[in-house]
Amino acid sequence: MNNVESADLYRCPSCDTVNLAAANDWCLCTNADQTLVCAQCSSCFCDAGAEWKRDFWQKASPELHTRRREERSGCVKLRLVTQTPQRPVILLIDDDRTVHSIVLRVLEGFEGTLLHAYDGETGLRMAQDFQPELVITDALLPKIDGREIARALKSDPATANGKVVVITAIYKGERYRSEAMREYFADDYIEKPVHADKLRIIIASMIGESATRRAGAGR
Amino acid sequence: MRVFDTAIDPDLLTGLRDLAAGDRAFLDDLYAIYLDQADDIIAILRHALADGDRAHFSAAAHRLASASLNVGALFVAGVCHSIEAAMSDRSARPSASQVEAVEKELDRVVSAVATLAVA
Repeated sequence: MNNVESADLYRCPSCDTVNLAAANDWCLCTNADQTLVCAQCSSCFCDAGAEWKRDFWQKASPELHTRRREERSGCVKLRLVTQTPQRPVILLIDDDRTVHSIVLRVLEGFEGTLLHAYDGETGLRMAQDFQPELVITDALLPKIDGREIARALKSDPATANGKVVVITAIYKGERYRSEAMREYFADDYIEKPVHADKLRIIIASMIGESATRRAGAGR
Repeated sequence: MRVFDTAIDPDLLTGLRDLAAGDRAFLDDLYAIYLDQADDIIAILRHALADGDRAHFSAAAHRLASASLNVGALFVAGVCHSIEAAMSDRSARPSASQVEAVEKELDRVVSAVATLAVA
């Protein structure tokens, strides 16, 4: 079914009501890619099929794409302003949404809270606000470099006890690993592609086996 | 040295399938997210090409290389890494052929993803 009728008018996949995308809020789902909430039935379209969502975003206006990029980072934070996140808290900072999707999957069953940020500035602010037990950050990020985030968090007494893992696609090899750990005070350093098994081991070593014991269970 | 000619690295795909644990929607969503991002980045590459903006061109290529590694699109990553390397020369200028090379490899990924959907 063609779910976009004209400029950002779409039919809600749950109740079939025609919505104006510009008037709808983002949902509060904890996945990597929040979607819009239907004005009629209050359902988002996170659970719509991949083909439906791809069709939607392919036909969405540039304005909606811009709004999606600019507003989505703050979605989880907005919710948590009035809620205390369940501990332990893991903050993932990466502008690559495939990483968010993979980490979310790796942490399925995790008994804590996963926060998402898509640029360094938002990530650093969220880390300062929520003092996560673990920050997983890309090395090269928009606005503030991930290694600088590691240094800032480790030099602030409020966040110094949290663990920081830096992930990267380009700085490979022992030399860069040593540099990240020595100069930026990162607790660990992993290379892309992100392998689920390696990530599970690192997360367990950083925040304890018990917190992640259900994550990946059965895999 | 591992040699393969498929658009998606079979070993990495196996790892992602293990992670999916039979949940087809996970893989569908992951590749939809990747291709959606790739569309955005191609637009940025074209914009930087039009402006002759070496820094933005290189940064966009890096973003796509990084995302490509995670979904096993190693040929896309390879082309993007070569763009990054070329743009490290201050006298280099972005070229249309570089963007076309990325698009060509992305087309192969799109075809491979369509095959995954029926596999």
